[in-house]
This record gives sequence, C-alpha cells and structure tokens, in this order.
Amino acid sequence: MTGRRVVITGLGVVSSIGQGKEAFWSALLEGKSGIRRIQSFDVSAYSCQFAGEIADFRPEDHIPPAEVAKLSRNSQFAVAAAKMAIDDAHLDSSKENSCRVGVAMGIGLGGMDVYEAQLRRLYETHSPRRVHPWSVPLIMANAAASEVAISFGLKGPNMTFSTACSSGAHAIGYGFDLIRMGKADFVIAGGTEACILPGVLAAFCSLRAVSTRNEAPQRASRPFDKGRDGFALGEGAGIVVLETLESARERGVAIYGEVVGYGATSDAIHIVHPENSGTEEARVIELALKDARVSSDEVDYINTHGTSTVLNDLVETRAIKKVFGDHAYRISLDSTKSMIGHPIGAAGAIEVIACALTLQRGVIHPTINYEEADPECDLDYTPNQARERDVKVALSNSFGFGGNNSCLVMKAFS
Amino acid sequence: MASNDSVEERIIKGLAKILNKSPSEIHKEARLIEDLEIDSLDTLDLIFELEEEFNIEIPQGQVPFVTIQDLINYVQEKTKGE
Repeated sequence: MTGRRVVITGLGVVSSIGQGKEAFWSALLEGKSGIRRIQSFDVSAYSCQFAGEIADFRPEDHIPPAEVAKLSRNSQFAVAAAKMAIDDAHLDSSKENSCRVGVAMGIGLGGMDVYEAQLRRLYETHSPRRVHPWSVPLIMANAAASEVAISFGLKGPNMTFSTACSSGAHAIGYGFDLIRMGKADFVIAGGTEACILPGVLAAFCSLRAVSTRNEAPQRASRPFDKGRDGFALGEGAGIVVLETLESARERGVAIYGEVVGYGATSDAIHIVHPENSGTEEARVIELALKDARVSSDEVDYINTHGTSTVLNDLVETRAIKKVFGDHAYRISLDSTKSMIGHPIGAAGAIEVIACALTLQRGVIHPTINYEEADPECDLDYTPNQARERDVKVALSNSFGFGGNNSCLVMKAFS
Repeated sequence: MASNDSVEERIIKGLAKILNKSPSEIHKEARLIEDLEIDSLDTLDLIFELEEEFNIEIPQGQVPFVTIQDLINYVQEKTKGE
C-alpha cells in the first residue's frame, strides 16, 4: 500500500552488549558476545546455564528513583530505551499533539520477574494475602507500553503485541501502518523482554530449544554454523521513533532510514516448528517486498531471525533462497542474536535498530562463532568480521513461536 | 522495621518506604490523600505492608484512615493485648 512516508529518527537500546545506540553499535562491530553464565540465580541443575543477562543496567539512571520499584524489569528496560530514542530524535512530546503520538510495544511473556517472585511467596507462605497488590499491574503484558505512555504523556494509540519472537518486529510494523494510514504522527515502537528467570529458563530447557554448550557460553549462540545446538536466552529492549518524512524534515532531525514495507503472516501449521520447506517464511518476505514495491534483486542486506537452532537457521536459509534465487548469494546476511542471544519480544526491535545503523553507516555487523560451514546453510552470513557495504535496501526477518512471521523492509535515506 | 520501635515509628517508616521519603518528612497529623498524595495503589501497598508488619488482617472495604494518626489508632486497637 502507499500512504505517508515513514522514517526512523530515534534509536534506544538496552542490551547485554551495551546501553545506548553507540555502545551497542561498537560492540556489534567488534563481535562482542553478551552471553555468560547466569549470575542472578543458581543454575547448576539446568541443562542450559547461560544467557545474555544485562549486568550493568541501572534503572535509576533513566527512571525517577521513586518509580523504579513500581516497574517490572521489562518495563524498566522499555522506559529506558524509549527515553534514549525520544532524546535521540530530539522529540519534545510536550510540543507535539500528544494525542497523535502512539506507542506500539512487543513482549513475549510480560512481567515474569514479578510473577515468579509472587508465586514463590504464595507457595512459601500458603497465604494468598501475601501476594503483593501491585502484582497485576506489574505482570500484565501491556504494562511496558502503558508505562512508556505515562512517562512521556503519549495519548495516541497504545498497543501491545505478543507474538513470541516476532513481537518487537510486529510492533514496529504496526507503528509504520499507523503513521502511513494517518492514524498517528509519531509512534514510539519496539519491544522489551526480561525473562531470564528460574521458571522461564526451566521451560525453555524442557523444550530443548536452548543450547547446552555450558563449557563455552560465549560460543554457544552460533547461528548458521554447523555445530549450532540451540539459542541462548537474552533480555533487553529496543525502541525506535517513527514519524512522517515530512515532520522529520520540518523538525530538521537526522534520518536513519525509511520503513517502506511490512509483511505479517501465520504458518498455521504447528505451534513451534516452522514450515519445513521455507515456503511460509518466503511468503512473508515476498509480501513485505510487494508492500515496499521493492524488487528482490534490490535487496543488499538481511538481518536474519538467525536464532542458532538447527531448524530455524536451515528453514530461514531455504526461504531466502526461494525468494531471491541466485541473488541470495549476493546478499549480506547477519545474526544479531549471535552476540545478544535471543531476547524474545525485544529481538525484532533490537534487530531493526541494527538495520537502521547499517543503513546509516554502511557496515554489516558480523555473525560471530561461525566456525564450520553447514552445507545446507551456504549463504553469506558475514562470518566473524564486520564488513563495509553500501546498503540501500535492508530486510529484517522475525519468525515467532506460534507460526507468527514478520518481515520489515527499510531503505537508506539520502 | 525493628520490632522494638513504637507502632507510630513503624508505621511512619513503612509509609516512608512506600513514598520514597525520609521518615522525618512524614508527620503523624498528615492526611494520607490530601497531604501525602497517596493513590489507590499506594493505599493497597500500605495495607499490605501493615498486615505483614503487624500480623493483622485489614478487611476489604475497611480503609477509614484520613490521617496517619487514624492509622496508628487503628493498628494499636488491632494489636492491643499482644
């Protein structure tokens, strides 16, 4: 569809490899891993004992001290990242019509830190009265979106997307739709997640979706490498400011890139397994390209979903080959998850931030831990070393449990 | 909160924690809503802390407290004879 042109003018990121876009970007180019043995609880009995935990996040640096305890960890990440993005975009929400500023947030699980802590209290005390009265507003999945709106007085549409691993990408896609359709002028869009917790990790371990390379956590997330054996759980938040091209020009702010297409589909086959041939993932990429009016041979770069599970990386490679044919071998691919692990609802949004910086700066970050080629994954994943490339068109793929597929198309802006 | 403090001191310390203020800033004649600006969620938080601190039950719908002194009186009555 056509409509108003939408650009990205602000970036905010909280990640295990750095807080803020510059720290994040330099860590990405260096190929720094944020994965290490989990410190926040005893993991000795777990089959996977590591994750991309954020050790240096200080909520009081971003949130008034009196408010910190009133926010779950994922909301703290979201408010912090939103503040960074809004500052980066030089957006003074008090000067804009606040009813035209929306929030779109992706989150896979909600305030699980609070939920697990309160369940523990309930089981230990055997008294429902000992469950804290703030539990509901802290656990609910839409808390982060609401806290962002409250923090900055944003009265436009306020939506939360929970489509597992593609949540953050869908939130940005929805924000893009809101602006191009004229339903909002600015959208603070992205994703957040904070689920490195005893119960959640146990559940992922039981699903056998996470790597068990406990002897070398930093080498565990190895998307597209032959030795990959599952993902590493991550946490964090990624938020972007979306606005019309017209308003960005009027305000005279820097533009990272233009969002030009968005596809959303469902496999409708299986609750966790992707459709094996890649047909369904190919369909969402084609839909996004059609929406963007971009031909497949114009694509220079794809930030892959690239989780480091055996199946995801294989099926994603098949899908890319189906869509792009021989051109697939000329596209630069990478996986941000090779460094930050998989921050579920935040993943797609943090990856859009990587795309925005790539479009602006002309460097593809590496996919780290790529040591042995998998004959079935034979594309150019930008192994281990960042590479300069003038990127005109970038894609960001996100494929969530539940068969929720998303693809966003972005263009460089000059 | 140290249990050898008086009911008054314990309540003021609890409120200070909820409101992120120093106990010295909270006077027992202060009105909870008008002066301290505590909202409905803070009130629930306060009831929760009081129930835990004094091992009492404050039934639903029973929040007849205007000032901190009302609270102190209520808790003293509830804990009388302990």
